[in-house]
Amino acid sequence: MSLFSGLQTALSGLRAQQMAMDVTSHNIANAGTEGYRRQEIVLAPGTSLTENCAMGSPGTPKIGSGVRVVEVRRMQDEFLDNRIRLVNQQVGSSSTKNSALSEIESSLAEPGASGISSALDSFWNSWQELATSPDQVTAKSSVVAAADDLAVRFQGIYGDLRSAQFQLDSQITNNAKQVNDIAHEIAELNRSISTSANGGYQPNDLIDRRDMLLDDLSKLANIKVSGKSGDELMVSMNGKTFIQGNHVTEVNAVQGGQWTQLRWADDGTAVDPRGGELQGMIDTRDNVIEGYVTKLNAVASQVVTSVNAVYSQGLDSTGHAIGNFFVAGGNASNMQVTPLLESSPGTVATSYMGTAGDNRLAQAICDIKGQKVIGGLSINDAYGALVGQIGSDVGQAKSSTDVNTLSLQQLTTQREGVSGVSLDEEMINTVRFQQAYNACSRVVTVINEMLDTVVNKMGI
Amino acid sequence: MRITLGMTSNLMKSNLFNSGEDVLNAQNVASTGKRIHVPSDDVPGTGRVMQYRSMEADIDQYSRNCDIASSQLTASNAAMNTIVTNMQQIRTLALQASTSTLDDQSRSTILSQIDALNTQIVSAANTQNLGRYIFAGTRSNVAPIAANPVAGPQPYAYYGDSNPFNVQVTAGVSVGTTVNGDSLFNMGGMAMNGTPDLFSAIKATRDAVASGSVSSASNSVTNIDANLNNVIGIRSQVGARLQRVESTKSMLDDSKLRIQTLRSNTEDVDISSAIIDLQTKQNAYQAAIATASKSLQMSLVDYMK
Repeated sequence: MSLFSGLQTALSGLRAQQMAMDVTSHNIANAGTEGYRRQEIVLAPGTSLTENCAMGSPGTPKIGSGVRVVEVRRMQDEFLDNRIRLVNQQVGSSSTKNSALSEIESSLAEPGASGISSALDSFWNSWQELATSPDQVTAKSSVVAAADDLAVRFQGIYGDLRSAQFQLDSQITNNAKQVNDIAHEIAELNRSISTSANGGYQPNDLIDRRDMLLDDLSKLANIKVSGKSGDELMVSMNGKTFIQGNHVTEVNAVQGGQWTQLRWADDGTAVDPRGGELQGMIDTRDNVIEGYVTKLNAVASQVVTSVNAVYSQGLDSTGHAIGNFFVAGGNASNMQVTPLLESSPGTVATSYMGTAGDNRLAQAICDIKGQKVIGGLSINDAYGALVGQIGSDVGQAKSSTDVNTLSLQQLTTQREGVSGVSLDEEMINTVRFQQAYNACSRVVTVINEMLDTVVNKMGI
Repeated sequence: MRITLGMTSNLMKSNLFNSGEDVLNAQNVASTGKRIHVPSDDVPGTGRVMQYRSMEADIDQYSRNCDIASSQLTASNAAMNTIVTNMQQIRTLALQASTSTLDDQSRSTILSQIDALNTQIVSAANTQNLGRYIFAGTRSNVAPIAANPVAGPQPYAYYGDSNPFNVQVTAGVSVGTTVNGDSLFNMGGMAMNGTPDLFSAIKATRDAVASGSVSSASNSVTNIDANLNNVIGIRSQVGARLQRVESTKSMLDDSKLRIQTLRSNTEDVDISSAIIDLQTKQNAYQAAIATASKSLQMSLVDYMK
């Protein structure tokens, strides 16, 4: 070992501290960057050299040859990442459900005077008014007007439900496209990362970008990620691997029946996201809202059926049947009063036999209000049950979103603790590396003086 | 545990958003005075409020029904009063005429008085209230008492029907608001089999007075009495029904107040506690903002030279 090797040792120190400073400044520069994982330089003592001057003898000391940079390590906890992705898809699923159902809930206008339950009350009461004054033409016009108002409100809520479904439908199509875009980008990154890894470089910033994309993807669907973080990753959804290395299987949005269906591009099987926004939207569109539509239709068509059943028993003064009050077979989407009564409301019948002052038919229609005609409930109560169900579904979605968001926050905070940049820490590191650099350069100066002594002053 | 800039800022952000949302909700409640804006705010409460609203609408309608029923019954009562009074006068005149010492002048005076009273009774029989003939049963667009096309001892025929007309005054309770002319005037022996109808009795009396026969005059008074008692009996039934309607109406008023209170307790918020809540939430929000501004500024960078 010569003095020159001592210089090399000091030089390795200078280089290492300089690289450490670079890493630190990279961290500080990216302290606020979204998705950035902090990097740590890993230093290790260099391989030690045998001391030449006493070759072969036992107990020969080994002298270290400086410091080497092992790697620049990216601080990441893969278990945390997986857990975060799991909770992320739960947040996505419940928050889409929450926002879609909250909109529907507001459009119900319950409790209040502009909802269907108020219109139902007005309708029954208009028949009461008519039953008390069966000869009044104004009472007859009021009955037809109240029926029209009820029909308009049913159609209004029906329209709101259907348009919510349409909105979800187009959102599903957009999200499917987003899945494809993200998948392609991940595949590109896979290729770049594996190329770099094979070349011996760890492309930390590319891996950061890929992790961010995986987080975005996990919000859309419940994905499983497998593979080495420093190399290619495989991403699968419900058992189907759709991103593998550079290869992507796309999600196609096809028009199947009433709504858009998602199918895999390679074999046409159905895509089952099992979670995430896609799952939330599909479930809300196909099951939850469809269920509301069915129940709403049941209430409306029960009104039509029950009123018609009583009304059509009536005969006019010449003995002919007076027909129906509502157009038969109507439900929430198309309920309406028969055109005949619409154009001449003065012909609304109050009697089974066409007698002007007889109110028994009108009274029988009033009695429908209290009859338990839908599954053991009256019409008003059945509608109230639907409102209650919508309210509790919204409440459930909201609290589910809140719980999951809180959980996500806690996990994200934990991840920040592992991967986030702490300015205080980086500041201390700058001091550390600067001092070390100063010391190493001092060593160079000292060795230089020693060399100077050897070269210029020895043996003169 | 490592504390990073990201952690602090995320935490501050979410706390500020949560506080802000609380303030917004408290403002909404305080300014509208309503506790429930959408069903999910309180699902069972919404169900109750909907039911209370429905009950209030029912009560309003029943109240109106009571008013109309009262009007019909009162009109019937008034008409029957006229009929009773007139019949009593006819009776008096008939008895007066049945003394044998009646000259033609007096006789013809009495006859014309009886005719006048009879005409009044007929017009009372055809009373209309709110556009309906009140004694015609459900054939209320037709005058019930009109001249009998068939000549004979019955001067008038009944053109109404015998159907009842019921008005629902409260849940499950109906009250008949009409008196059918055939029962009232005993047309065709409807009320008292074998006794002639009221108008036939009057005619018989008139004829008896005109003929000067004392015995037939006093006999015919018997039939007038029978009809008079019939009308008086029906009138007291109507009076009882009127009382029922009126007491139902005051019960409805009480119920309405009670239900409005129940609804308000569920749906409305006590304004003073809403304001206090708003103030509390605003204070919490201010504290959160102040804390955020203080803690976000601290860092080692400030202290290193």
